Amino acid sequence: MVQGPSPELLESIRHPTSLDAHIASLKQLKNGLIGHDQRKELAIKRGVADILVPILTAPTKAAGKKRSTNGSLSGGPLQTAPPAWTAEYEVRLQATVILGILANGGSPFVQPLLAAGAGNALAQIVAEDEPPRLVTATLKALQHLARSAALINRLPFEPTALEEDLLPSLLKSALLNTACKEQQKLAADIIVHLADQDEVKDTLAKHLLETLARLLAASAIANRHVDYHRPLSSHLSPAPPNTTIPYILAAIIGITTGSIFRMQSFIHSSPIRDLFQTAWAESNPANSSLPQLHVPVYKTVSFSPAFPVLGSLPQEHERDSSYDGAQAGRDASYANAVIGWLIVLARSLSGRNRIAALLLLAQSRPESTHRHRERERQLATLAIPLAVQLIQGTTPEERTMAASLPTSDTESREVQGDACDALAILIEDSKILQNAAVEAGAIKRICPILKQSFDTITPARPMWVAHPPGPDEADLPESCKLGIRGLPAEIYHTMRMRASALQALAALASREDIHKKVIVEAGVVSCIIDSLKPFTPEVTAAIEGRSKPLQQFSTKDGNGPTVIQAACLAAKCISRSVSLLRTSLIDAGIAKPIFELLQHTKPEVQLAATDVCCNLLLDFSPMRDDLLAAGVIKTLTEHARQSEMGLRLASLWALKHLVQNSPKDVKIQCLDELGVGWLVGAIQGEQGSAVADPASFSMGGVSVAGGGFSTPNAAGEQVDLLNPNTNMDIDEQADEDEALDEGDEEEEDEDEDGEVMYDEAAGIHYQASQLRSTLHRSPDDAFVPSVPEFNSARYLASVREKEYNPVLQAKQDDIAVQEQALDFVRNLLHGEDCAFMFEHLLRAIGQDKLFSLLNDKLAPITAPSPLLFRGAPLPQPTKPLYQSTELILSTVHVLTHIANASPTHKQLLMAQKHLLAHWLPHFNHPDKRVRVISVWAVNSLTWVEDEGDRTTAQLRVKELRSCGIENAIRGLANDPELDVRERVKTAVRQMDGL
Amino acid sequence: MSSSTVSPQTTYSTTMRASGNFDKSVEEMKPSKSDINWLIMDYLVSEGYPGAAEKFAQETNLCPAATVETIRERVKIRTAIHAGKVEEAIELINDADAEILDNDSLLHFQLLQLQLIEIIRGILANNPSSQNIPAQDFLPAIQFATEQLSPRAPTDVNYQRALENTMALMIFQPEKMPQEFRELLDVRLREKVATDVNKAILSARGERAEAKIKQLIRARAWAEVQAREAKADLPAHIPIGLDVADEMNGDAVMT
Repeated sequence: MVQGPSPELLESIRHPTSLDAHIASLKQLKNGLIGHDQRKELAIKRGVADILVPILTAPTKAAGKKRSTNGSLSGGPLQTAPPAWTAEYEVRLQATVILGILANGGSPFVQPLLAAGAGNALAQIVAEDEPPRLVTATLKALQHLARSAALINRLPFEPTALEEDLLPSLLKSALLNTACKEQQKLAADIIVHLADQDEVKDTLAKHLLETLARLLAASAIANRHVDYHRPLSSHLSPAPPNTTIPYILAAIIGITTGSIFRMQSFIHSSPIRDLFQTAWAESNPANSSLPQLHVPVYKTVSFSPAFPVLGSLPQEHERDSSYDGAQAGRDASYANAVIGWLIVLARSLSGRNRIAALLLLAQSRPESTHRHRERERQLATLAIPLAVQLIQGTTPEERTMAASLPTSDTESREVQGDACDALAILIEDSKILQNAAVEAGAIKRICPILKQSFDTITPARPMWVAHPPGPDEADLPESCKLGIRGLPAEIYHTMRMRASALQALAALASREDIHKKVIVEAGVVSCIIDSLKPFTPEVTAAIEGRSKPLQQFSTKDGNGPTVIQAACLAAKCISRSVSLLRTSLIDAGIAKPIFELLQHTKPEVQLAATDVCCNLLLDFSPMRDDLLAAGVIKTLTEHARQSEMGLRLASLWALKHLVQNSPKDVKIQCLDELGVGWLVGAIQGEQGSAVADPASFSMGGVSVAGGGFSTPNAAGEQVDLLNPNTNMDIDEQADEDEALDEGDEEEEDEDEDGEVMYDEAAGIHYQASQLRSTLHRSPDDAFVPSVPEFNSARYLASVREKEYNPVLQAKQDDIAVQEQALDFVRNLLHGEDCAFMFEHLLRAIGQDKLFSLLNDKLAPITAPSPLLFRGAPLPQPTKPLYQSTELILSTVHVLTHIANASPTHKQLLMAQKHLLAHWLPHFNHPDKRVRVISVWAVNSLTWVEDEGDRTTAQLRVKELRSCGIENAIRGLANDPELDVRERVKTAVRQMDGL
Repeated sequence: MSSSTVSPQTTYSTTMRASGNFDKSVEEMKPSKSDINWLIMDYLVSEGYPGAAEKFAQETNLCPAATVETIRERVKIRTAIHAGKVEEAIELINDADAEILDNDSLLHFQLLQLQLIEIIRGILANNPSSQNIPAQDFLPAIQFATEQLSPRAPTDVNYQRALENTMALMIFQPEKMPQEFRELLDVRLREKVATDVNKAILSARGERAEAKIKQLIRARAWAEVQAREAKADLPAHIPIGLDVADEMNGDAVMT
């Protein structure tokens, strides 16, 4: 029988007779609660939270609560002597400790504690006013609260606590408190558990990222990971103890995850910049600490474009095209050195600490190592094997040998899961690194982990109670009601392992068909299918506390949303292999669970399932008929019309695949379900005024390069001839952004240093540097009036602009939808029913409307309103501006299909004088794909269908000649692209033959 | 005793070397004085000798790794457990660090079990006749077990067995008690729990849970076994010297 705190005790805490009695009662309460979860529950139900929180907030006599307003925090911890320890402090300390142990009880305690305002009260204890003991206890309590709250995805206090700088300053001074290593650790750990939503991460990044970077840089110098020759500058803090480093790494990872801007802010933060600017000038710092590699360059197996249709690799596609812009190589000048340093760091650590370093490495990699072949090889030989080794896990014997290794099985499994995560991010979109991972034995280590996660688990048995508690009284205040329990720890861990293993497998399978095959042969397809099953209603009820706790948990009980998403990702990657799609995947019966997931309650899961559908709906996929029979069209069209952008795009993408080479009735059904009006709207663009939209002007370069984040660069290197750059203006503007916290002096500094870095990086060491320098001399530069050297602040500002500007985001999304909508039309027209379908479209949309839609895509964008530039002088564009390459390409594809329809339709197209005029410049489009397809369209136009068509064909040629297209075609006879030249030959022959 | 005099400087770590003259190699090894001092200090701190540590720190100009206060804290806890005042010890541990017992349910259970044993011990001691102790005398023990120990018992079979065995102390007459139950009444159990608590507090503070010298002695024994297996040229018997002066011998250079 469990006794909760007696009413007398609570009364004596609420109304103490004396300070000593107060302390004694609090201690009695504390000792009664520690280690007794059931008593904690009873205590909450009896309103302990509401009794304790006021004790924290009550002002003490000794030191009134004054908030620091003098900004001394930025300079480090205050050195004033802490106030003497008084009985009042002792009371607050005991109350804080009790709140901490209540919070340590897990997720059910979060709800009542938050309702009582415990989180805010704790966050309000501002560091410098209080004695260190109380601050440490507060941080501990916050840590417990944050940990428990993170389990149910909540913030342990009102977001205002973050915005009011209370918590950031508390954390910052704790981080910089060298006197107490425990505070540093606690603060870093709190940050890890706070960082969940993007807004929180942004706030944390703004306040704390630089501090964290400073600590890490100090440690790098202390451990001689870099050669640092300058006297320690004032802004470097004393190095934290090495045991704290993993926490700091984890905090940085927590903050930077999910945003390229935040990651780049870390790499370009002043401590890191300082570290490498000096070191870099002397030698390649991290390289000297890394072993020299004598490995032949990997021969990568080329990725066969398994899918003839537009391709189903959205991310990869975007990335690749955006990297054509070469600026990725440029900004890497020292971002690349950071990678080297992180490899050294990872090699110097072990166990879970090593994971932390690898995760940070993984996150900073994609932006930095692309095109750095040597660095990539270094990663392949030095970092990837470390991750794979950690996935293997440790045996209990090994664990007793080394202190840094995990001590328990649970911990060991956590390390394995984390290692899978790190590997997945590391090898993402790099064939070389994927190969390295497979060679290191990743597949044969991950598959058993996945299989193991399906072993039946028995959750820990509940504690004994003499009298099961009755239902809660409904009229209790929120602070006395326990929250939901969430998943039992064992199941939570299993789910995590499963999701991590699936993610790692997906990354391994994303490119090479051979790897996909090995994964399938390892027998994990059935596991993937099982992972697509959501929790059964019984399990959900148990999790939400509506029914009895689970006695057992097995395969058939389903999966949480993260697992399902990871399984969808794995299924998507594996289904890219046509042979596997038609063998293993159809045998496993993947269509049914995927279709069911389209109806899932969570939009993230719907999106993941739709992504898989894209591959399952291709015309050679045997699952297409099953999905059609199940009614996939209705679901997808519904989702396409939804307002959520990701899902809309993916659904449209899937529909696009669905109508390719499908029977007439399917095509028409898709069109009808989607709604002609909606389709027209989608092609037109969301704002309907895409032409006059300023964003399309300013960031035309972005969309041209595929909407990737990393397109423009600080040096203003311009990639696309069609889009004279205006990015620089934006950069200038954003420099003033306060979030960057850059003073004028620093600004100048960077300019100089940027130059140094750039030159250094352009040395012979990296192939990519040479690439970069040739690009630098490319004719594109003629359009760039800006200074060539690298500038971190500007670079960061442009990254930030792309990530945080909602107008830009909306614009990019909009363009992506337009592109998919045009491609949908293109696939609709494709095939034998071309003429019929076009006729249908003409009837549905209307001839004028249809051609004006296409015309708008090809026409130059009219001069923008200066809205985005906020007063900055607008450079007079030397050339007209056009829509993004992808849009133009899709449009010309549609034209080609119209030209392929019946002779009447060809005539119809020829009658569109405006359209032809606007099409003309694109025959010289810098993208070869546009040129090729344009010439193809002319080939179709000049084709003589039958004898009756001959005269009309002659008319068409005449028309082409008069609008200048014939000349344009002949001008392409010496095109650098073979494909273009061959098509031109055909076109010229056909024109001359008439 | 071999020819070399046993002194703090003596080291046997050269046993791994297959050199001809073992004693000579021993002589050649000169561990630095500060290493030895550090080792002694480490021992004093982790084993809980606050006064000695303070004195030693003054003499050697070493700053102790932990403040004297924290050592005293641990000593107080240990003394309380040794004296059978488990409740007091639990309160002291909670004052020192509330997380230790909240997170380490095994240690918490062990302490509560010890507390139950002490209660039963007290009851047994109050009835020296030990023939027929009235049942109601055991009531405090039963009440304590129900409140403190029983909730956790079903969660793990080990807890359950431990509780059952402890409760059995109330059934048997002390002299007829089987060995496995009698062990529970042995005061050495207090020492074991006290050591575990000491370790837990040390590791919660991020310090080594055990004095370095203990590791060194194990390493020294392991090295000798390895060397003998490898048929290295060693004297027939190498004394560790623990019997001469308990704390003053160690293989300092092997750090």
